[in-house]
Amino acid sequence: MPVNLVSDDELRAALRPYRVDPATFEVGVRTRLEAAQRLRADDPLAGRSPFLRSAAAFLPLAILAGCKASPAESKLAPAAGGYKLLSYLAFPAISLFVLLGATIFSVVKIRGIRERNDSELADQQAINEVARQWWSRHKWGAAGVFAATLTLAANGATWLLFLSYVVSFGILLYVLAAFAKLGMGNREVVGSSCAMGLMFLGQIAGFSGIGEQEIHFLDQSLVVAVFYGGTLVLLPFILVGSPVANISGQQMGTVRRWMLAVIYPIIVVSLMARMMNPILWPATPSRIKHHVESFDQAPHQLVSWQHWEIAAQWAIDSKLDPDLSNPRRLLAKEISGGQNRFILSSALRVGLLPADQLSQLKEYQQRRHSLVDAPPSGLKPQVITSLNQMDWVIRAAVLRQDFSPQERDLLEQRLHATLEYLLETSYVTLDELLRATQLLEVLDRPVNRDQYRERVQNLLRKFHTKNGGGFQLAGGFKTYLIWPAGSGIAQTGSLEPTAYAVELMEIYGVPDDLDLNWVRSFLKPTALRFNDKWVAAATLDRLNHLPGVMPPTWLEFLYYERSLLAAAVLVGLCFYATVCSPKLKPIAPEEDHDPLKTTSG
Amino acid sequence: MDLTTFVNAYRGPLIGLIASWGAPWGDAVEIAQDSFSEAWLNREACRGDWNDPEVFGRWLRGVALNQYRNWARSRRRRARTMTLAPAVLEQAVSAVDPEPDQQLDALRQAIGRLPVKQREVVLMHYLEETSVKEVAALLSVSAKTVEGRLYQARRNLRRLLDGELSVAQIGRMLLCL
Repeated sequence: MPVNLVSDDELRAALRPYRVDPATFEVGVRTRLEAAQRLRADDPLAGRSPFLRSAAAFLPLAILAGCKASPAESKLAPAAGGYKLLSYLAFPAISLFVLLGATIFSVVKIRGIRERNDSELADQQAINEVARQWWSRHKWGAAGVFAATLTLAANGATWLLFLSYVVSFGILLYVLAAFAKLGMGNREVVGSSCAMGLMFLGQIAGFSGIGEQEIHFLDQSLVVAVFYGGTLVLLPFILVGSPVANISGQQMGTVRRWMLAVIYPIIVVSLMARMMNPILWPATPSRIKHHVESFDQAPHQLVSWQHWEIAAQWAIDSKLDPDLSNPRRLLAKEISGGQNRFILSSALRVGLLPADQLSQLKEYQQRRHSLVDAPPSGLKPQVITSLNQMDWVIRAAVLRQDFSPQERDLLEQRLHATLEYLLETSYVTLDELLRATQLLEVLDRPVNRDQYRERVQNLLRKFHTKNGGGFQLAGGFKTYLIWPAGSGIAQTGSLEPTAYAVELMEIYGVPDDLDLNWVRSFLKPTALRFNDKWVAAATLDRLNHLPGVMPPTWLEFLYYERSLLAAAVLVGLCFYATVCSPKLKPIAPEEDHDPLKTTSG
Repeated sequence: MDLTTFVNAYRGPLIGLIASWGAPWGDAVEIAQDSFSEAWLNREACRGDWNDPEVFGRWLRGVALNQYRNWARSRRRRARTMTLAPAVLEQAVSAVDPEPDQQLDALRQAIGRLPVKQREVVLMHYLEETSVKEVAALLSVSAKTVEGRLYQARRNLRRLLDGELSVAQIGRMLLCL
């Protein structure tokens, strides 16, 4: 069956009245092209997206394009609400990463041109004037941005700060990339301005002590290092500049260029090496062992011995088999001298003092008797006060096998009484609690862990603190439960109590609701740790090997290191913004680009 | 490709395409001129070789669509702020054809009732007898697809003119396409 269709002729006839005259139509197109050409000469952003035009209202094109007069008088007003909002979001990055550096570099260039009495002074002054006008027009907005930056950094909200800048810079990058497509932009200006912005953020991050009140597994000095590293990456763009850079200012002098090329990297690399110390020179087991073996001086006396003891005990427990001849020689000096009771205790705990040398201890017999003299009948065994000072006596007596079974029984009762007292009093310290527990083991009367577990864990919760700030990390354990209320400073965690707390957790278990990531964060290797980095490393390893403790997952790692990731992203954005910006190509309104010019097909 | 060649190649199908979106013929011509101007000015931003008809056809259609949307938005704004007397509207419509032919008028109305995809190929192809290949390039479809749509359109037009299609059938046709 044939299909009945409407004929082609009928359709042509139906549509014929709507045909246009080709010549008239083309004239209309050409008229529009000429009008668009005139508009573009006045405004290179004419016909661009409303967002681009809106963002351009914040970006002084004279600075970006490196020409004397702004070719575009873009206004924010015509853009719709959403575009305006996006433009406002880009404003922080524009303030920090474009105008700050551009203004400073512009002033520096003017000074250089003045010294040479160059004819380009007028151009550069005009650009500087544009920057000055920008600051004048946006002074409150820019002041708000810098105030918010400092406030967020000072309050530890670095993650929010960096995220804001990443978002803001992402939008700015879109604008810069769009300008680059138009041939507008100045790689030298964008590169140097981004470097200045990164330097500013690095300074803020460095001085504000970022991340002290948050959980981090990596030293947050790395954030500063990343920002400084970013300035190093951008340095070639500043040094190389643009072959036509003399349009916007003078070329940097050769001597100054070389000074900048050599001195700046040396300073920055030194700083970065200092900040990356925990990564470049981590406290590995072999280094900890070497530290333990090389202990032949105790510059801080008691503190040096305490720190050494923690590292040495870990090395022995980890079966690293350290050679303790140097510490033994140092101990021999101590024995022949003042015989500090704390140092003797430390030495005996690690096993530095052999039994045949115990007779050299001056106050041994007197103190041993004070420990095991039977109390008057009817009285309970008394608490051992200053257990830390008596620790060495008990250990020495056990080594010498000086205790009779009755004396051991009495001492056991006194140590239990001490434990009970410590668990009730507010003046307890974690090291005393640990020593009492350990001494019961030494007496071969191990503590019933279940008897004390709950109360010890409660006490550990009370000692744990999330206070930080002022270059003190949060997440450690406090030295004292009671802290003067009028001191005005919150008590932060300390390394020694944290080490003792971890040893207590080895014995009594980890409190259920204690987030060990806080403790890990406190113990993480940092550039600010010097001699105590061995203690932190040993304690961290001990913590990670507690029974039933799982290491942090990658997801946790990424979450807690989001500031570092954001900093890296920001540096990447700066680099990309610089690379995608064209080399200086001034917009010349008078230059005639004929859009009607035909191109061979 | 120079501007004249470029305009001559795509003028007819572009005006037809814009008219198929719903713009009156007079406005469709204006929008097409704006689109040619915009596309020519920004041809360097066209991704790919803009001398390739397929690439440039797609690019030109995108530009025209944006221009049409701008026009539609501004028309809505104008509609909110001003009203035209009915007599003016009647005058604008009747100005198209000084000698009305009932048969051709019926055909024009039938074209207006076609599904969008069929209507656009009819307007693009028959307005200035543009080749199927150029229509296909502008629509980013194959020439076979255009031919198929033209065939279906002509068959449906015949049915519409003969009154063979019920309202329900037209509805199903619209749903399918």
